[in-house]
Amino acid sequence: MEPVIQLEGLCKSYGEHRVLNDINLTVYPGEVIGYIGPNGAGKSTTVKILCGLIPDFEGRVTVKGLDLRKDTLAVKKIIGYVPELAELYESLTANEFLDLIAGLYEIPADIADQRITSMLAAFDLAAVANDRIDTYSKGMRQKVLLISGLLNNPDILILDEPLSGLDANSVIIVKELISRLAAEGKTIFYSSHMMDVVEKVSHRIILLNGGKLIADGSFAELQGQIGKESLETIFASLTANTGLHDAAAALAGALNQSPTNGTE
Amino acid sequence: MEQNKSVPTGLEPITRSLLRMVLWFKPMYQQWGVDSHQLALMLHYKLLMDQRRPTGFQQMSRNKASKPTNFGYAWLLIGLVTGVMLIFALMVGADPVTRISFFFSGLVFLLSAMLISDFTSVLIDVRDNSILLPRPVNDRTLLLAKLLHILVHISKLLLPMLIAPLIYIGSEWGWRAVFALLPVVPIAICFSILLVNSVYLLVLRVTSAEKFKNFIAWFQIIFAVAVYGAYQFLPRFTDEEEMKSFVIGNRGYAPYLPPYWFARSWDFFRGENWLSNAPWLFLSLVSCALSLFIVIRFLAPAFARKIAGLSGSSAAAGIAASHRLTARDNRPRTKFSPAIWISKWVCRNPIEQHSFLFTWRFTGRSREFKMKVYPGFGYMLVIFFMQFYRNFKQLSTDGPGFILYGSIYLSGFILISAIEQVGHSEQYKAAWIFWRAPPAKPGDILIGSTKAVLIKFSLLLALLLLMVSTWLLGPAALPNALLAIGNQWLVTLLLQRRAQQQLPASLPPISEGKGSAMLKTFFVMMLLGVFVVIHYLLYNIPWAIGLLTLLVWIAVWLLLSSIRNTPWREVDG
Repeated sequence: MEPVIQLEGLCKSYGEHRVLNDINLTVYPGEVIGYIGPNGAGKSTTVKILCGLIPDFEGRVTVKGLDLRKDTLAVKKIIGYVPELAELYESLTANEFLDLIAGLYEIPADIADQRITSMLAAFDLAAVANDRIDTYSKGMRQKVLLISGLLNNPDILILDEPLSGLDANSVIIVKELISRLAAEGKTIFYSSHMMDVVEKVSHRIILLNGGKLIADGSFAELQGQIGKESLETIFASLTANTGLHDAAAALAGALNQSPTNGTE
Repeated sequence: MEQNKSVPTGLEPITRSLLRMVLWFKPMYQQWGVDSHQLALMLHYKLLMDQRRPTGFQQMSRNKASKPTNFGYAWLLIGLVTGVMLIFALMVGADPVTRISFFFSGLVFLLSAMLISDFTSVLIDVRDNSILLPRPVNDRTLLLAKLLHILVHISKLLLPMLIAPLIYIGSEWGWRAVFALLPVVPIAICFSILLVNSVYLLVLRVTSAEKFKNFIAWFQIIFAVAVYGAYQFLPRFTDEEEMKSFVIGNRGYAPYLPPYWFARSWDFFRGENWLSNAPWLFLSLVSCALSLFIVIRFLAPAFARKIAGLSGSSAAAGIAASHRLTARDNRPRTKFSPAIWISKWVCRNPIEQHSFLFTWRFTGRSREFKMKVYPGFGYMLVIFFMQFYRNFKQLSTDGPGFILYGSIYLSGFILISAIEQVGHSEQYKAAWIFWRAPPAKPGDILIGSTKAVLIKFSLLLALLLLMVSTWLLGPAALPNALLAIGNQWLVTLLLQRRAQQQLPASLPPISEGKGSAMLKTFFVMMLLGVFVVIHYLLYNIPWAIGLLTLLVWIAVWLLLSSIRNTPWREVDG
């Protein structure tokens, strides 16, 4: 099977600080990749490189055989991106905003209209489709963002904390959607700190720490290798520098300290 | 393939017509590698968003109705009034070309000021990072969409400004002269946009995103002061008769001034000296097209890359922050801070002290606060030198007299603007921290914040002026200077101690056109003016000044006490 994404020797530095250090990764169609790591591990940088937002990286990135550096626009056309905590043009209505996004992907108007209407209805937003986004709740905005990422029917869907602000029913819809899209052969790059969700939706989990890839395998494989029960404990055993229990104790202890004698 | 609507809907008729006009040149844009369909779409929606957003002049509706609301035609009235000012530029000079050159100078200056103050946010809209940049839009399309967006919007604002000058030109040189101006004005607009944006794009090319933000803030402040300085100084440094007989064409530097090129192009269109004017029209057109070409061709790629780094939550910022976390572990936690040192002296309790420190830091770090208040220091310097320049003769014979006290009052404008702005911030929602676990009374927060503003924006400057006054006029100046400072504080505290008080950075930014805000400022200025007049009448009567100083400082003390006792129900939020 032809790989859909290939990262070869991917490096990225900000000034003297190396954020990504020699990342090598091959992803195949239909895979749901759980992309996890602690804060500052380099997840967002990888995702932004894949979306063509950071052009000055070292190494080679190919998406469906296209060189990302040379064919940035062609790559952007086949990627859907749902960024974390993204802003929206709030003075537009959901319909107008999605019409703009559809237009930028040059989706024919009739197809765009049909997709926008169906997706808004599926997310229970049909009744407010012509209301300004600045009147929406956090969850409603997240739904608009999700639709904007799906609108171009992408081969690769990159989701950065996609469940943020969604109610329980919408979470079920999105999880089910991810499974269905993967079954259709689409690749999903799922970046999140919610370990229980990543554990359930991902076929393969990639753990990044300090800009390096430190674990790669299915949840069952990682369980077998590391011998922990949940993804949360696997994550902690591979990435925590100090004991997490000690850190919690230090936080609680800080409340009982006084500047003179150390404890009250 | 049927694509999204190319004919814009929902736009005001004027905006729609202007949009159609800029899209006439689609074939040229396509030649430069721009996707004209995406360009039209982005322009349409960006202009629609403008329509639904108040300009600096318009009042923001806080009521977020579910239906899209548009903002009225306030820009029309403001534009008409601004246009009257341009007539003055048409009165300078002996011949039509000189007068029109001055008109275009004024126009380019006005446009540059508008571009710098209002349109920087259009060029650098951080929302585009997550909305437009991940889509298949090339750099040139993105940049041209932004530039044309600015062009359409500013043209709309400019139309009413041209009405008064066009009537004047019609009455002076006939209707032919009016029609001759119409093709030249778009060239002047393009020139101004490219002038300002080329500077921005060049700076963006050589600097980091964060430094660029600071550059824009200081550029805006310095420009505002320069405009004000030029407005105050130029008419006074030039001889009126000389201005009336001035002919720009006789000066060797004229060919280097674009407004002169535009004036000669106007002369061409009204049918005068075709042969000698044609090269100037050619130069005007070519310089605009060439600079647009350079901007799109060479500055666009760096622009897209750099604005991607402008968002506060960018990967670079996040990574840099986590890097700093590890790098700073072994450093001492704090170094000497003047704010902490002062707060220990002037604050009574920890709540007051922390409010003082918060306000001190907010007023020093918030870009929006600095933009609104810091130009005041520049304006003050300009007025200060104007006072000395105007009264130079009097100074050499009678000494500095009341001028020094006057300068203390002048510094009050900075204080008043600081106290007005300190309650407002784009991040006003973060003020939940004050309400989350509120102290019994908000007075300590209010007094801490007020003290920070009084000390930072008045006391330090006032002490300096007090020393200068005492040095120049002897110890007798002390009560007068103290009275001036007291009056300044009294007016400021009256403004602060109104029906609804404001916690620091707890309300959305002030809309400049808001009637009540303007009335309030006007009232405060009037009050300060009355105090100045009373002081001026009495400043040579020592006992009266002594008594007034005492009374004013007692009033200041009483007002500070009343702010300290403010209950929660009197706090705006």
